[in-house]
Amino acid sequence: MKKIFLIALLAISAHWANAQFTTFTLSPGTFTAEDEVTITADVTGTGMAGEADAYIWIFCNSNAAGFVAKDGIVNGSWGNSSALAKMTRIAANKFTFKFVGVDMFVLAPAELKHFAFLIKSQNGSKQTQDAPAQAFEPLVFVPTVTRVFPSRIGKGDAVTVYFHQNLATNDADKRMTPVSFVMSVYDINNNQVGSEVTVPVTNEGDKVFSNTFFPATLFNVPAATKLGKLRFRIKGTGLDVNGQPINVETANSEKPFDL
Amino acid sequence: MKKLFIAAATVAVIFITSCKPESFKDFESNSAFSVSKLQGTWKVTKVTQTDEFAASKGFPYKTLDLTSLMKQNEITLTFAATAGAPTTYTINYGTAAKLLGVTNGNWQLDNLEQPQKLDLASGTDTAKLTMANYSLLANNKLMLIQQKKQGNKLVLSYTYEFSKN
Repeated sequence: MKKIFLIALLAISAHWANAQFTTFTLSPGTFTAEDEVTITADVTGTGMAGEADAYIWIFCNSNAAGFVAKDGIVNGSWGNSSALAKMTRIAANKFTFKFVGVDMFVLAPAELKHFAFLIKSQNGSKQTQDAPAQAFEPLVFVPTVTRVFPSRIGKGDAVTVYFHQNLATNDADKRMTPVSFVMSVYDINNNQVGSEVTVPVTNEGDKVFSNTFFPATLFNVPAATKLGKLRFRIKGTGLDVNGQPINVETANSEKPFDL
Repeated sequence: MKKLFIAAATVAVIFITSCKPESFKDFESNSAFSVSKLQGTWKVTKVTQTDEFAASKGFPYKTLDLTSLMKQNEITLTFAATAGAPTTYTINYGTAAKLLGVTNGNWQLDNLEQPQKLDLASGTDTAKLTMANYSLLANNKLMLIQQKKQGNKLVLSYTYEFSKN
């Protein structure tokens, strides 16, 4: 009985240690270090629930290799947050905060990889968990295995997903014969909208594959629903060690909806 | 020397007498526009999607031709007018994606003589378009641009090219 209790306690501790604060949205969904970003957070169910005042504790480049980690200039000290870090209360348990990366961290765009934050009371006695790292979009073009065109999308736009197989580093991805894109969309609360959809790839040559679609109709998105993100992967065929055909899938890629 | 002078003088006389006033086309002012030139049914000939964010940063992959990809060449747009003023419009999409987001309603111009903006209203939705170059109207062609912004920044646009029989 004691062992079971200890195991349960360890499991809960491990869960708590890994838990992250995820009930927030960013606007726009895709942003560079020079864009103004609005964080809208819901602290319901966190250590900050029920608090009238909330302060952001924001930091950048945490554990990013080759980048210097730094706190936001508004933070103040843990025991006495600066007034500049105070978030705007928009409803019970809901707060917003606006910032521009280059101004907040006093770093050049090229020196900013991502940021994260938590929400706390001014004296630090209460807090949420850390939010996961949110990447700044580079100001220079970086070729990637998957790509979405255009770089800013809405549910009422033509959206094209690309698979640049020539840039793949994974052997299975490099050798597969791409057949289809498997796609799904999520609302701003991270709930899936409609069903997962499978559409064929168009071979554009030079190991580039694409599909162009209209999200509003492909996923039957209700008029009032605001989309948060697109998730997609590429399905194809390959051969196993015995030369027998097998199904192969890439990892999922995600792209926020911005418009 | 005298012969050389005569030859040079002859050439000079020929050049001078060959000069004549160049005829310039009459200036066609913006007032050449009239609502009646927009009236009628226009067929989409081309739709280009431009990633204005990528273009502003000098990235590759700036434009994409959606004409056949999204069956945009199936679209027709009909403008109606009464007494020289815009009234209603109808868009027939066929099987094309409804990128403009509106189907029918009232249309209006920001200026009836020198328009720059053309709105297609439908209930609470309005597709806000810019007239690219209405001198094209003389050749029964029309170009409309739909711009989308993120905050105050232009990030995406669609250029619609039409023709009318």
